[in-house]
Amino acid sequence: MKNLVEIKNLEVRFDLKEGIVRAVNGVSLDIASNRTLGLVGESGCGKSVTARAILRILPARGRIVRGNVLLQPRDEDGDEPIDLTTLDPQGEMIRRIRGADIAMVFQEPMTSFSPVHSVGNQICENIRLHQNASRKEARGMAIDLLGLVGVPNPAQRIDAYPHELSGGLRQRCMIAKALSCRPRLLIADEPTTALDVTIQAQILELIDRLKRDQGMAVLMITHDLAVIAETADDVAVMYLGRIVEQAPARTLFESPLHPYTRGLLKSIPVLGSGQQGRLESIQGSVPDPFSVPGGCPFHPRCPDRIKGVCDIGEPPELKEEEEGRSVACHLYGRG
Amino acid sequence: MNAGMSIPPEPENDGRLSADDSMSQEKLYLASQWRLMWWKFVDHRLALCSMYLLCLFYFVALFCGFFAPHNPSQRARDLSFAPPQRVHLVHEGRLRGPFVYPRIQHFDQELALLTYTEDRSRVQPIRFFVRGDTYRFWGLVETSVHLVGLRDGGRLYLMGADRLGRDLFSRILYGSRISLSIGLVGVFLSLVLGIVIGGISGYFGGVTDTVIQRFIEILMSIPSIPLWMALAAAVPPTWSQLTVYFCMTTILALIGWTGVAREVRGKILALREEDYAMAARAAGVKEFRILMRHLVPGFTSHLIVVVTLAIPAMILAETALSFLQLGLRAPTISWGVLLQDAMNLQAVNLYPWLIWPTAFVVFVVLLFNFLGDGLRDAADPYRH
Amino acid sequence: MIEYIIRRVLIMFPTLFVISVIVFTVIQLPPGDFLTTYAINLEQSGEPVAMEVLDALRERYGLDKPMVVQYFKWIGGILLRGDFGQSFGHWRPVKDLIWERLGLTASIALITIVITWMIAVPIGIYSATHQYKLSDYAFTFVGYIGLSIPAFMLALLVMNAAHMKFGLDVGGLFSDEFIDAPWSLARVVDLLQHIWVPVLVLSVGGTAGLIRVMRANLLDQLELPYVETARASGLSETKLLLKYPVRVAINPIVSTIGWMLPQLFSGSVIVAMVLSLQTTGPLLLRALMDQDMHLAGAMIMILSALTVVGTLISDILLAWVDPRIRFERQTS
Repeated sequence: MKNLVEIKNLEVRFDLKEGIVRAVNGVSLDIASNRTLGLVGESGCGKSVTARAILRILPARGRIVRGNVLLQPRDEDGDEPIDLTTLDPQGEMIRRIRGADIAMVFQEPMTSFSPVHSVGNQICENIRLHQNASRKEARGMAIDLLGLVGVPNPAQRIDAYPHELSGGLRQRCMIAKALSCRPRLLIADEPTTALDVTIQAQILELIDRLKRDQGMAVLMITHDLAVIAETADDVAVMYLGRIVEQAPARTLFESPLHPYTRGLLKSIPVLGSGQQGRLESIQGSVPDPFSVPGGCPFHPRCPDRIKGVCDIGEPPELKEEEEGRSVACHLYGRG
Repeated sequence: MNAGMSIPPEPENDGRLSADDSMSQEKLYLASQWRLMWWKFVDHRLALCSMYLLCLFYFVALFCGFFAPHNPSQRARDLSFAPPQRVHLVHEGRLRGPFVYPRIQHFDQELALLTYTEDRSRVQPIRFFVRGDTYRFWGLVETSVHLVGLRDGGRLYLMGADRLGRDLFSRILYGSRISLSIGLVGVFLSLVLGIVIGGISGYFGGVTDTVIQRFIEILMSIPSIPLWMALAAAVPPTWSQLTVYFCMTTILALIGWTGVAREVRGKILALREEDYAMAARAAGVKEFRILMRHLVPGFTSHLIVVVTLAIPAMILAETALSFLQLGLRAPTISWGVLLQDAMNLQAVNLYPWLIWPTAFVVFVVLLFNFLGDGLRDAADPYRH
Repeated sequence: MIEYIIRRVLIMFPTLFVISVIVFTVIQLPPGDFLTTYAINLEQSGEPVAMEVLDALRERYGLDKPMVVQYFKWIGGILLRGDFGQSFGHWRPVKDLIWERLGLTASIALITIVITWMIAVPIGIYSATHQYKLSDYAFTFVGYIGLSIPAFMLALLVMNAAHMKFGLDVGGLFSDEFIDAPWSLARVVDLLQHIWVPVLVLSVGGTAGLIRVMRANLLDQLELPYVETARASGLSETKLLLKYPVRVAINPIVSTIGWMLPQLFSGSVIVAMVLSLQTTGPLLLRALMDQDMHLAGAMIMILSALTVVGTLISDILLAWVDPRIRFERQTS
């Protein structure tokens, strides 16, 4: 089966006063229907920018300089896939895709809704933008959606303003909005970071259930490996704008290859694992994005760096190491 | 900002931040708030230029006797409504340095007007540091040296003359003394009032706070322009120039302090909730000391902005009131007093230079607005 | 919400009482009273002063009584009979004097507000969405100048320019032949030919200020995540801008309507002087200079009351347009 969305060699730059930032630097990803792809990395690694590049909603100073984002057409009538990077970011084409084929759930449920419009208004807007529905029909659909995502008393809550709802409820409303046009790809950008732990689990479960029911693809963006472990089928690990490792979730957690992935996994406490002493953490901090180190970008923090190899030349390329898993590291594939 | 501008290190040097780079970064983190503000402010070209120009204005106002070519009250009947003199450089094809031609007064029978023509045969060179009208330097030293002027008591009128033949340029410079200082003094007074009353309100809280806040609300409900006018009208015209001057500043301050008081109170209340204040309190530091240590540094920058933006309003208020003959009155010279002449349409029509004071007022207010905006941006150095 | 409004209305009464005391004190500040000044003026012009008349007047208005008595006489008249007293300068009831000028004053203020809004809001939106572009800088710069020129100086400049360039006398609101004429179509046309000058002069400062506020508010809103959410749902940029950030940014401005009117009333005083308009402005100035205390007191009092009511209207409006504030007030 063909992938729903294929990202090929995507590069996004930000032209800032302080210099150029290559926020996404040659990223390739395949997102398949009915599966969840987890994109994980520390903040500032370019995972959110990747998501925004798919939808073409990059901030004003960001631009795609290279690469393609190919979306399979909705009707399987043999149409060529649409390259989203060639579309006018304000044009009709991409706007028909946004919110309909590809929907997004944002991190901050408080500020992601307009404070002066009811949530129902904002959900209905999404419905009426992409479907031929009257005001009344849209309202009915919105109430159904709110019920679907587990909002109690949906017929009353639909008229609530964001500040009248709890964080969890707001995020449920956000998901309802995103799902309102049965998208084929749901991008969830840190959907649970701002929520309490108990609510987090509920929301993740909800997304997972909806994915299965509707057969959509999910791109789950997070810095939290626990979230990945809970939801993802496949995982891509990002560091400074590049993908450093890609593998099925199980494999990745059982035997991580890249030193960065290993570092990330080691920094999670595991209960009852009989771990001794302190938690390990990755040494140093993420470098300044204006001055990315030469060679492998991770080498200054890497415990296994090879002098004279890792710190010079081009960064290592992402190569398939085993069936279905790739890694970008000089430690592998050197014979 | 320094760190951001740095060139990415060469791949050879281990990829770590260079020593220089981390130094500058450290400098940024450790820089005092004032340092940061200053850096940010210097970035703001327009504000910086405005500040220098304003300093120049105040400097000239301080030494207006020296900078003004003439005594502002010196009348010259033969120069009534004389137009501004053109400064020439070339006389009969020869470069002669800056000079003016003397004026000859005519009486136009038809229009019943005095008119002036240049006597092109004689050259009056403009000299620097010439002796002219005597003036007392800050009321102390008597001298007669002026920055520019003509020799032998010749009268150099760069911006023309008023009805009594007085030099408008000198009058504007002398007027700046009052108009510019009234803003500063008025703002200073309102600042003191505002800090004290707002401080009491925020520090003691409770009933005191409620009463003061209610009072401020009430005072703010009375429209300021009519109130200013009413208060200014109450100043008896028989009082001396100096007394009227102080009355005016007090009146301006009486109405201006409410804003400052609210800000101070709000800041104190907000500070009480801050974690570091809580921590200090838990450590047994006295309340007043907490306020002094944390509020004052954090708030001074903010106050400077408020004050800078309040000064032009005061200058304008003085100008407006004097213009309406409710404030300062002749023989006091202020920009507002000078503008009274511009009220006469007929006169301005014939003698358009009479509106020169407007240009000065607008320019100074514009400079203050630029400066205030620059400071406001700078006062928030971590933003953007 | 209703409870909140009732509470605010109740607070208004003591507020107005204190204001009336302050206003009365202020207009009583100058030494002597109008009748003294009047008598001196008569004497100087050589006319005989009818002491009996003066004394009768003094008694009638209680000018010989202590301040407190005078105050209660004054405020009592206003509250009980709607009688603002007699203008000494005009020898007519204050109410009539103000009433006949109120219409023009209010129309100038209203037209000014409408024009200010019509110009400032679109420019503010344009400036914010084109931040750091040349056009934004241009508008910002023009705005600075607009803010720095006080209205009365602008009035002077406009008047002089009109006079010099076109030989027009743009002062006043009517041509000479219409000043005392009854209302007619021709008089209205004549009024419209004159009213643009004060409206222009008065709207410049307000427009410049409003552009700045609108631009700053909108810039703040444009950075917020909900704009991105709306964009991600496929809304077109224009619709998005108008429905979300502009709506939120304009809320605090909408609520200023309440006190904009009284502010313009008092702000136009000096302009009205310069342009010699038949509005309340010159009336107030004259009254203050002549110690015509009933007239001056009534006018300042009315302006203050308008401000107090306007503030209340503003607060209610703000709660009406912004559900967050409505919510806050309901729960508080």
